[in-house]
Amino acid sequence: MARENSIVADQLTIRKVPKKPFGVRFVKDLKKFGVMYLIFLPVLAYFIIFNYIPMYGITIAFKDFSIVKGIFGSPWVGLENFRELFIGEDFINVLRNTVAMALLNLVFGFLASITFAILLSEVRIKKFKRIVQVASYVPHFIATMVVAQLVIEFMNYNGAITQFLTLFGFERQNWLANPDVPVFWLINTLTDTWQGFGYGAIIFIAAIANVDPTLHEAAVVDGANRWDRIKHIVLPTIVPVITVMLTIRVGLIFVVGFDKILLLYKPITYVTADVLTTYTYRMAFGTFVDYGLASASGLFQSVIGMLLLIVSYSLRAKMGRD
Amino acid sequence: MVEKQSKIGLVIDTVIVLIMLTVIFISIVPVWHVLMSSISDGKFLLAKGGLILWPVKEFNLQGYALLFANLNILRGYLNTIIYVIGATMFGFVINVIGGYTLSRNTMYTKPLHVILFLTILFNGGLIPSYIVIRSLGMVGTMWALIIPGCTNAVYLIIMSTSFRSVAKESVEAAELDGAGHLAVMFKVILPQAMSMATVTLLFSVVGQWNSWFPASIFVPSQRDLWPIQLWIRQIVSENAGFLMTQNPDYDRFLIQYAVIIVATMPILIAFPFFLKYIEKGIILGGVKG
Repeated sequence: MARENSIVADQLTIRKVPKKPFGVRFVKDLKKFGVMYLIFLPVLAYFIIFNYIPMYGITIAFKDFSIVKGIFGSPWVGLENFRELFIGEDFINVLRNTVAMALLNLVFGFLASITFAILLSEVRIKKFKRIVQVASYVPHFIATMVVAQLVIEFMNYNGAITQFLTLFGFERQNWLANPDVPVFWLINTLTDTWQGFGYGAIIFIAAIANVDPTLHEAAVVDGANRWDRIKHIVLPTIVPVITVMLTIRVGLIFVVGFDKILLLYKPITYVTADVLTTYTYRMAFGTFVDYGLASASGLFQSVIGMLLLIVSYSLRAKMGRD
Repeated sequence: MVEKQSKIGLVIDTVIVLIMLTVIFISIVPVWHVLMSSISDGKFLLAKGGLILWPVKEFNLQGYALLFANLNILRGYLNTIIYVIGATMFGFVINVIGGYTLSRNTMYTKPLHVILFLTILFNGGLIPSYIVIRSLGMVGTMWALIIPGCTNAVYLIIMSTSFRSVAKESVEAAELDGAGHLAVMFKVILPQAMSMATVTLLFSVVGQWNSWFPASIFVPSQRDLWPIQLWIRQIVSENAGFLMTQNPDYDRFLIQYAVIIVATMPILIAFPFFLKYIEKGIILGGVKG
């Protein structure tokens, strides 16, 4: 009802004040904002140069590109690069690894953040709570390069985690050289979770802190125990936040978080560690350079990423309406 | 909270505290391990392996002495500082100008938003961007690490949102006094929206300080342009080879720990001071989506 009223109101205002002709508005706008547009021009140029011209560069994916001939001069080859990409024996592996690690990162990351936020909210000593929270951010601020060196340090033959795992009967080995199926995926996901759990929990902690304390008190009076309170007060509060964060993350899973792999994988683990980003990187800067193939695989990734983003945006828009 | 402490409640509280202590441990201990390794005796450290919670054998600063005697590292450190300051400042100016333009209601507000939004939605990918940056003559120079990655549409939109929340009256008053657009954006609006602007600044500083990938593709062989992060990789791989030689200088082994500490400490020391901005940024960003 309210919405219909506002539409009616809009129509009324439009009828009352007829729009001035385009020319008049144009001149008035230019008079007021002309200088601003001039100042803005370099910013626009920045986005055209570094975002829009590269978009034209995706035509490389449809060309037999050579550096000598340039983007314009190279001959068109239609979908040849994509055919080569899709029938390549690595492609299925790469796709499988990308999807597996993206999903694992998403699930583990989320569960860790939410569990941490809920457990932290149950800590009663304020000072201790704060210390834990601040400590949990530390991994997020450590550079990916350093994180990669830490993983190598802890998971090599003599590393602390390797030694710890032998307590549970795992064979002593350099885990990063193990090409078996879940090993590299788990290393990547656990590292990712370690880096992000505390930082990712900030939003949930804030949401939980916003719960009206009288709700908890009333629940206690009614005889609710801790689990009841978490189930009926805390969880319902953070579910909307979880949904929003989930849609954001789904939109980004193909975009972020793969630069670690470049530092951690080696030829022996390509079979489980290679993802679209690293594959593209090798095709472009590796031993056998193939810009056409690299662009095709980059474009494939961009398109999937875009589709996911659109799904995520429209999901959120839909939730916003409800 | 008034709650009767039952026995089970006490047990659960204890378990939670124990879990939280574990969280602190796993968050802090990797860096602690590196710090302690960096001040150990190289030879015994190498033989010991595992988790290092205390300097092995004896306190030894030779790793740092060797590190700071290495002009390459100092140069790398300087480069990182140049990239952080350069990219952050350049990006900030773009953010303020762009954010201001987007925040004013003009004839082009909608098309401009679409133009920016599309860059978030779709990008040309690694190769086309590389080719554009190379054709600008930036590859192999510092500019490739300062200009292309200094900002993005998300920062501009964050900025324009916070500019929009500034009271219109102050802008109108300044305009009546004859202030131009530059004066309005930097002297009137920006000071009132500084807390969100600080958030974008901090994200940029941390991101640039920790960045390594652009350097590895834009200045792969120009060692004098490497940021400190690339030197970490270089030193670790050099060490892997030199340990095979006969009678190596074991203090050299310590450099790989020292360089990590030197590269990480500035951020770790600084971050408690900008915590509240980061938290605020996350919460506002998350709510607005």
